[in-house]
Amino acid sequence: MKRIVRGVVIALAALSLAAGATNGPIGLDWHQGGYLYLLLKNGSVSILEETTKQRLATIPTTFGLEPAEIFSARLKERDYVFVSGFVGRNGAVYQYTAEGKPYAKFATPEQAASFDVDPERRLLYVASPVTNVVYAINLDQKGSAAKRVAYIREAEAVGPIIFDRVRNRVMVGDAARGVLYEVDVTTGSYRPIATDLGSPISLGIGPQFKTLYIADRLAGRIHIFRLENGAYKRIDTIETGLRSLSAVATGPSETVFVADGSNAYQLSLKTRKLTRFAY
Amino acid sequence: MKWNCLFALTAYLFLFAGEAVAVERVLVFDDVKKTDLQANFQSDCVATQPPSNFQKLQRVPTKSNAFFLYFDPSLIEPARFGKFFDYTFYVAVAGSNPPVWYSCGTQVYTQGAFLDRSETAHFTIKVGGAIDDGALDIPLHSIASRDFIEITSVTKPAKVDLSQSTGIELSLHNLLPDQDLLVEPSIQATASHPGYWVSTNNVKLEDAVSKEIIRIPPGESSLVRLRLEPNKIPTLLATLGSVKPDAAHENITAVVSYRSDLGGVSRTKPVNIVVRFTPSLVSLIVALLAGSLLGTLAAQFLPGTWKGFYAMGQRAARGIVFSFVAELFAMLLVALGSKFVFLQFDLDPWQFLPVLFIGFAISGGKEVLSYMGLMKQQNATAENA
Repeated sequence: MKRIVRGVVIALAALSLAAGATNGPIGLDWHQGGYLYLLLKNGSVSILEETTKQRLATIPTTFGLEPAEIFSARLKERDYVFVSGFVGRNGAVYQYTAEGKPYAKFATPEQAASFDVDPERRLLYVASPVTNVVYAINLDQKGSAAKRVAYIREAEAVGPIIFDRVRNRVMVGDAARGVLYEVDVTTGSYRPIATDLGSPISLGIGPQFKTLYIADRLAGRIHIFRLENGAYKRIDTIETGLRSLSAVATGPSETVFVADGSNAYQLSLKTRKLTRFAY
Repeated sequence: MKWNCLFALTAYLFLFAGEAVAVERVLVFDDVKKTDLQANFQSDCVATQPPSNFQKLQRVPTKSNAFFLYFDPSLIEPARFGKFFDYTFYVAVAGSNPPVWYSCGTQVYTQGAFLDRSETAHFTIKVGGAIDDGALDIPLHSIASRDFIEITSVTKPAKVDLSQSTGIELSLHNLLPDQDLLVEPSIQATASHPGYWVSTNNVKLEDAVSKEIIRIPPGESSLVRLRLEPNKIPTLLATLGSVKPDAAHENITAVVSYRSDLGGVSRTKPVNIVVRFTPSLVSLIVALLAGSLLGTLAAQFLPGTWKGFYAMGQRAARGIVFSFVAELFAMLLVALGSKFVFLQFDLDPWQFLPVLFIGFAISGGKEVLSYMGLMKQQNATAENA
């Protein structure tokens, strides 16, 4: 009897793992005081309570959306979650309330799907991998044209982007050449600040905007940069051992959240230990 | 054998010197250049253990069998941010003991107005001082906005049978030369008259073979049913407004989501479907009976026609029989591709109002039609002709 029960339990566990693997998380985001948001392969979003990892709600899949990126932001004392992706061959960013209700949709130019939000000026920064141009879209003017911020001439295929609101810069990773660029959003000037990053797939920034995390999909590493004398410098690299690392986001108490398309983990920066959690 | 051992030793020295994650240029692909397609490859390899499923992977030896290139096309995926595709290859040094393997993450950039297809790619493998080359066929995908699918309704306009709720029959045609198309069963439907349908949410395409992903082989077509359930009363009322056989009752825009097999990007194809409702057989019989009785009754009101209830009953029975015969003829003519023109009206014998009229005209007879001016008009037209 015990054998049968054990067999059933193992089969169920294997089934749940297989189900998880087919629709695992490809992106995630968290900020202090907010929920943990996981973007799954099928475009749906799991909203989790950060400490217990209890699922609070699910944002359903948007028809035809090939998901790319997720960010959460607090705008006018309300939390929102933004999900980007491709609908057909057009880029779009969808805005939802923290409870998962659709709020707005922003079409992006030139198949741009990587983005971040400037909550102070209520701007959406998006980067096009086709033209390597960074654009700003006004969140308050629905249907307004994207405004060109910078053109990164040397880049091959810009990928993840993150906004440093203290220094008014966006960091942009070149997913093809493994280079990180810093773009001044007021002047449009840019400069490379790091190379040999493999294939940057996701960027995370610390709550004080002094630590930058870069997920390298190629080698499964997290590169950690610290802001020193006004410039980011690489201080550490953590080997995660994850073959298809897909996302990194800052977490509480010296941890980061990471995802690899199959599972979600919390990575301790002190012990470098990965702890998997259900979503 | 000696060479293989040397490869293995060299590779291991490299491996230990550079740690497990050191990125190396072990695999280099030549660009693929065709008139409509250009593809270039960027491979970065790291030493690894043999994958557990390597026996199931596609295996290509190099020309002098120094290396094997392993490839799983099902692992191809579009890059997250869209410009290139991620492929994973494995390089194995032939005969090495212990085994020497590299995992090569490869970014493939494609350009050109091509439809997704397979092409032969030439590659060179270099491990330590040993070099060898080979070629393999690999699927290449496009990020451009081109349609890989044609969608048409099997009948034009598409017939929706109000009695059976069988949905709308569509033909999906795969335009790709050598790759399957995978069509999502869930579609997005928008109706010009939402009230005609029970729901336009969660609409699905149904394939005779599978209810999951619909797979269409290259160059072939697949018949599917768009499951939309009509609201019977509003749709029956909608049929009253049109008499002509090809008139539209409704327009539906369906957006179908699909991708090419082996890692193609997701695409959508909107299609406009013109719909004509077909009432149930019971509705048509009711229409014919009602029309026939109405015609008989109308005839009784004409001056000098009333000859009692028995005569009226006889006339009604005769009218019903002849109406049925006329309706059957009309159906047969239309089914054979002909038209059913009655009193200069081109009638569809499958619609409620025309059937009511057939019953009325046949049972009412020429007295009623003349009284209404319809026969006179016809006679006058005939005389003029």
